[in-house]
Amino acid sequence: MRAMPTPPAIVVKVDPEIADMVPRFLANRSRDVERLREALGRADADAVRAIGHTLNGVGGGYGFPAISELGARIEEDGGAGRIDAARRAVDELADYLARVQVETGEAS
Amino acid sequence: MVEDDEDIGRLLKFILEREGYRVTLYPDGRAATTRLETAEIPALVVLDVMLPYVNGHQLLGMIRASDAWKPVPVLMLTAKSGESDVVRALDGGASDYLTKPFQPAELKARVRRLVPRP
Repeated sequence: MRAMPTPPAIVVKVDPEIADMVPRFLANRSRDVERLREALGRADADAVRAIGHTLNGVGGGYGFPAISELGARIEEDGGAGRIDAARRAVDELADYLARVQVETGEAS
Repeated sequence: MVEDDEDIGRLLKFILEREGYRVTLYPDGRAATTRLETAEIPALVVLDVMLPYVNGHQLLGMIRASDAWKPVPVLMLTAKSGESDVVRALDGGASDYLTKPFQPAELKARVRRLVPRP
């Protein structure tokens, strides 16, 4: 049996001046994933939409446009009551957060 | 500045303080209303639309209804999908708006238009 290959890291370059703020920002996004999974578990589409809205607003400013894009999908799916689609986007967000690797330098 | 999201508020404050501005951050609309009655008049208000207790549109109305605060420029933070919020903010007397997610360079440019760097 062969071991599953490790998914490649996603490298994001952030502004060195905000680098100290990024670990806390990413930890809060992991907490958002937990809150989203709780909300999905109780089929609370409005809570899913609201957390997606926050993710959408916060990602780009820190240099993580992918978080904003996934947040926008979660917000839209939550707003439309598409729980399964929102769950897929939340899984993508969890995967992204597990793989993201931060480097300082010119923002990517 | 009035912004309820911890991460966005911290980032906005950091960026503007790095530009040399002195920034006071309020986490909700109710806390900000106390400032309207007691504190010195700021050079600029940065105001999120979606706020607990008193929302950004309501706060904007209070600012524009106050003789002392009326001339203060107000930059509204709106969601990208919130076109109706943009219209409402501009009709309500906002000086400009910035959609979230925002780029730090755009934030700085919009603030500079309203308040020269110190």
